Amino acid sequence: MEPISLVMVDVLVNGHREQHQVQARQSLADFLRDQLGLLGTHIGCEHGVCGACTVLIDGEPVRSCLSLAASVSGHEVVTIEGLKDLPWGQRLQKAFLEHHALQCGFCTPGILTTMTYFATRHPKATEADFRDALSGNLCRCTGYQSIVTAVVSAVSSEHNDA
Amino acid sequence: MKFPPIRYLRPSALPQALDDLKQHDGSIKVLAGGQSLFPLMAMRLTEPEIILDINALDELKEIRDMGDCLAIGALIRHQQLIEDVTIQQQTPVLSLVARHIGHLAIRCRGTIGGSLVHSDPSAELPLAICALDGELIVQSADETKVVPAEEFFLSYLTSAVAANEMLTTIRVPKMANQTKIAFDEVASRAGDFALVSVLAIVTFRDDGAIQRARLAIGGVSDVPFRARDAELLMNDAALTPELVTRVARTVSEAIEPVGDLHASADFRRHLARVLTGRVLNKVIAGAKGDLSWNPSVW
Repeated sequence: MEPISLVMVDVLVNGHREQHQVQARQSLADFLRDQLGLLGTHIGCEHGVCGACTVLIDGEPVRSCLSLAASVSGHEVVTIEGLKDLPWGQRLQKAFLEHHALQCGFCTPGILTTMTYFATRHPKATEADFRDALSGNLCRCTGYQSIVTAVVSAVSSEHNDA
Repeated sequence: MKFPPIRYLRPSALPQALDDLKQHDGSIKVLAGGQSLFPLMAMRLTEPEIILDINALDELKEIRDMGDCLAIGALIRHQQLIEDVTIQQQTPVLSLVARHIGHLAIRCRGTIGGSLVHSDPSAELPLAICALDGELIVQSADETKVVPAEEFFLSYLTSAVAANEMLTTIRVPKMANQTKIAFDEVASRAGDFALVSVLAIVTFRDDGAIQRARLAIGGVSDVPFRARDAELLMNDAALTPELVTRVARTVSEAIEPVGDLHASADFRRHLARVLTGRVLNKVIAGAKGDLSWNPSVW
């Protein structure tokens, strides 16, 4: 096979099958925003430091600015727009609302996708574990305390219900 | 910044990938997890013409038990090193150090092969493979080489893997009985690259004396530093607080760190001494190494 500059991408995004031709160099973040119009995925630093662009690929948190759109062909992507369809996504969104866990909202999509993965995978994790998992997402408004409060309250109310 | 223009290849079998590397020798770059490559591309520090995406190569995603060692596929991701039960049990050093790599989303994507080929002297996995005397299987279309760890890391960001070659498998010896491990590092912020890191792997005899000690220091030279003089001091000795002090001093005298924006040479030397003492005291105090953060216990 010869290397190609235009790649056909066939991917499941938030449950919808998307087929698009993309430039080989296009990042997943730009693909989601520019081709699919999913503007909830925010691009901050564009080199993997800030965490704002984090999405779920096959259920795992991934920096969409450090992934090629071409590479996700055949995989499943969930963005902030699709998080409401995941049990922990919905619970965490509600908790964020109740505990004022966002101000400007720029970092929120990346934080919610990361926390949704972590709470789904490790529902019995401690506050220290959640703080550690949160360490890859920068927020310049909240000081993190209300984010941690929201996550911990969602996790502990789930335990009380169970 | 956006990535520079590239052309893209995604082979579905290893022989095909190796042929692609041969055919486009020099203008092609292997994409594993991309967590080091893409930042470099975004900052235009590297501009490969062709990206060879190896993520469809299932033969590089296996962890195989070879008796005395594990053969770990180059595409095994850092988070798998932390969570995989075989790795936790047989080569727990990898689980221990992988916990310190970047952040969760980076660890979900970054790979052991990618980190080793990237050869950052302050990175955790090159340090661990050096300390463990691992073996690296490097393949091209024409030959397969087994490269010992001490010949694999050549200099800053430079490994022994040539442009037409690919690191496919990492052979890591299983941990011997009666072995204790400890790792610690100092970084400006959690998840940042370490200024200095120290890994100790100490195997004890039945009488309590040290049978074999391995000590590796990261961030103090252009490749991970094996503190061989300090290891010799420890072999056959009892691991007393006095010995720890001597070993830490020996380490700080053996290294020749270079100062940079992040830390002066003196500060790195100081950190190497303090961290060596700290990890050896953990070995004295601790069990198998601090795996308390490990998801398997949740």
